[in-house]
Amino acid sequence: MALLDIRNLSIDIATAQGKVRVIDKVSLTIVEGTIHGLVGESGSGKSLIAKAILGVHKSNWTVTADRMFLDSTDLTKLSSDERRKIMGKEISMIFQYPRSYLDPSKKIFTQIKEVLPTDTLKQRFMDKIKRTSTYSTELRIKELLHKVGIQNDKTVLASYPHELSEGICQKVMIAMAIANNPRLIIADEPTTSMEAVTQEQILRLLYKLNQLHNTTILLLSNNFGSISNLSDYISIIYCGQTVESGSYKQIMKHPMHPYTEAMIKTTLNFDESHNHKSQLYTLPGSIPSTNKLPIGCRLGPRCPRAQSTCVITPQPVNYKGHVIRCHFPTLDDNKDANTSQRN
Amino acid sequence: MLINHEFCEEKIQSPLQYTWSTFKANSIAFTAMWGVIILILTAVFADFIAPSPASGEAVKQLLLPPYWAEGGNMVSLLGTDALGRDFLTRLLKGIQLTLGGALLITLAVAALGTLIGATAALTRGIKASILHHLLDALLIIPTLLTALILIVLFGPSYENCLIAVSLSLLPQFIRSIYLSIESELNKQYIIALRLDGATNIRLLRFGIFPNMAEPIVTLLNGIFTLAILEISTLGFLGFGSPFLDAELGALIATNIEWVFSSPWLVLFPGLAIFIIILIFNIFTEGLRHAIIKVEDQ
Amino acid sequence: MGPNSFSLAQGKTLAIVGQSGSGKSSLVQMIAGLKTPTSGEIYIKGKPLSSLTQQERCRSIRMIFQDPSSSLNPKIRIGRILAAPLALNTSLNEQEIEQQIKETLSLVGLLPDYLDFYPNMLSPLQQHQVALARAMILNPDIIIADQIFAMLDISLRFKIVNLLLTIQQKKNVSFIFVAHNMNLVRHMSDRIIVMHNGLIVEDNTTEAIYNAPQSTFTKRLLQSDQPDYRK
Repeated sequence: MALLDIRNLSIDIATAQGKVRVIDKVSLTIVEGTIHGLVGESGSGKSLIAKAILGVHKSNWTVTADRMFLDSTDLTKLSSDERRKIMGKEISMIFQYPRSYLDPSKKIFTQIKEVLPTDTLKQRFMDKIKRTSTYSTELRIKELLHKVGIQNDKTVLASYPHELSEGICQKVMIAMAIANNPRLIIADEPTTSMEAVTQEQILRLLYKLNQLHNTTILLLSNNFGSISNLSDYISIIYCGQTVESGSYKQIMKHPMHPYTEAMIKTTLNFDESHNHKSQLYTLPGSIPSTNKLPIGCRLGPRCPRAQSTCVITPQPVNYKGHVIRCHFPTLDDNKDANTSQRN
Repeated sequence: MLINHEFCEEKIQSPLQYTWSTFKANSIAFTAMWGVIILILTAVFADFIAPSPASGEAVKQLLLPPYWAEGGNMVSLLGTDALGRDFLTRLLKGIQLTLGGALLITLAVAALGTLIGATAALTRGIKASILHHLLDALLIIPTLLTALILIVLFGPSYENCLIAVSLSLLPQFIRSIYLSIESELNKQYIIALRLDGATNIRLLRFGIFPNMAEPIVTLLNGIFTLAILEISTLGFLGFGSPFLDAELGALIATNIEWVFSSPWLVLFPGLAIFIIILIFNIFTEGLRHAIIKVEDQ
Repeated sequence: MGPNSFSLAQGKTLAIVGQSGSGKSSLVQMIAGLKTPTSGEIYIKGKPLSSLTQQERCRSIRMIFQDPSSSLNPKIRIGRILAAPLALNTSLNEQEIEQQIKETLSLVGLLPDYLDFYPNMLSPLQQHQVALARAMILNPDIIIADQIFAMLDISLRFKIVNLLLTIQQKKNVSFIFVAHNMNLVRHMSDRIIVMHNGLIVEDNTTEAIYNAPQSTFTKRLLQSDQPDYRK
């Protein structure tokens, strides 16, 4: 069942040139207990969507959504206070540059301690009476660190963030994120700027968390190749429009959108057809800046299949859970366009 | 992203032009700029616009109030002082001495400070560390105290007052310039320019200074404000030549004994100091905002 | 770090890989002249680097930085940025400089219209092209690129890879680059150096490294390349 259900989320940002629709009717359904990959290049608005889910808007944003439910709570109707309560407990976030999100002047131990759920006064009182300080903070922190695969917990806890590598810092951030057993973790490009070995470690850790503890993860990334493999569902977003979304198998086996096809080619499979030092496949042109977005399908000017109808924004079409927004998708034989239902 | 020159003529503005157009859009700062220009013109041409000769030998009525008050007349618009000299003339002369002095000090400090600060930042080893540790020691002493000590050493006069204030403000300017250049030096485009084989002077001229507009404007404003206050303070304490050419602080000091009978003699110089500092600060703040806005683009 | 020895033929690409802290950045910075080695010598075309003047050095080795938006001075027009290395290191007159700038711009695929632009007016790809033009403008023998791909979007990354490959074909220039992504390394390089703790643990042709990795570090790097979480 859907843990997070977003329908037609739009974000308009007021700029000097007037309102710009940076996110255009994005729908996202995250099934409980899965890893959902949200892939998009820079400027596609991945982080904006994450911020909208968390409710951290700036004053010049207008966020509208037909539906935005976390399980059975309507996120759009919450006051900022109620929302803040949900943030810590139900949703937590990990970021791109972990070291810059850790306080450089405090030791790791203090920082983890701060995010642990505080005991209520009553609990502390009862503990005193029963003399069963059942679960000491140290033990809990230690357990958390072991969960994220940090073995030498003593040294790490006694260090300052700058003494640790990016990879370890990210693990600490993940430990802090799972401290309250959130239902959803939003990972905003958790491995960018890390080297391959560390990247793999972090992603493997996220995968393990998902498998062992059934944590739902929304994984934002700009690199299709690095996260496609561990995602159960993938949504691809381009310039604030969802391009295609579906299960891993659907996307990898039958990509229907030209942008998805281009993305899949970026994974560089070295088979016989691949020539050393040959030119790599890319779409022509470059990503438009936010104040010069094309109308209609925003991939239009760069799309190899674009025709005149592409100036009208394509409506999402659902083929058995494989949702695509394109006027000219690659249609497979076993998928008949007639049986599809329009949303 | 091709700009079509035939249909949408988009001129490429240099950062300077762009800053100017951003600055112009801010009407308060723009007004303040005119205020600054008028103040500077007043300071330069004070002797010409003053209604009576500056020395004011023509003794008229003593302690005349401003013309709008009871008993005032149109001959001396702001009244006269205890010696019967036209107060508007005195005030204009005061503005000339204080504002002009402060501008001179700012210029001198900027030129000398930039030279020393840049040398300190670009050299390594003994020269740099002497330059900047010696100045560190000087920074401990409050600037006003330094100025006081220096003027006692030099002997009281207007010129010595300017020299003393400049010297007292120099260390902090050098320090700030040094720090700004130092942080610029770590930027990648400077390293890239170095790899191109650029000399230090070229590095400063094309690499560092164009990117230091914002800290320099802030710094100069600080120096200017402090200079005004220090000149007035020294003048108030009597370290100028108070009777012939009085700057604003000295004007207040000499007339303080008449504060009950003729309060305008103290009020107007005080107001002048206040307005000068206010207008210059609004102007530089507007300028700084424009620069930041352009840099953020 | 060190002692390390390696060599690179003209027109070929050398990739330096290794975990962070393995000294690959220090190595390329030494070649670029940002750091000086404590002992040993770097030879270029048979001449020791220390015997060259600053100008000769600039003309034969150029460096590309990671982020062009910070390595291009925001207050200087593109034309001036590109003219600076020519004015400093060659004795060309103004017309020749202009000619050279135009040729280099067309080499990296930019129109001369952009000469009057300031760096922040260009798209990220164009900024990279300008940065590349600045490196190529002196017709160097070697171009050093320190992790230029790490921060880029995948499609932008591919475009720059394509550009680099085209330039190498046309100008027969050598590349030395540091990278994380083993797929790209495999695609672009002719020779790979694997570093660990400041030492070269493996130095071989790309094919040899991929088909028969010798050291454990190399194996681990290659594994990280194609992780399969689903098994």
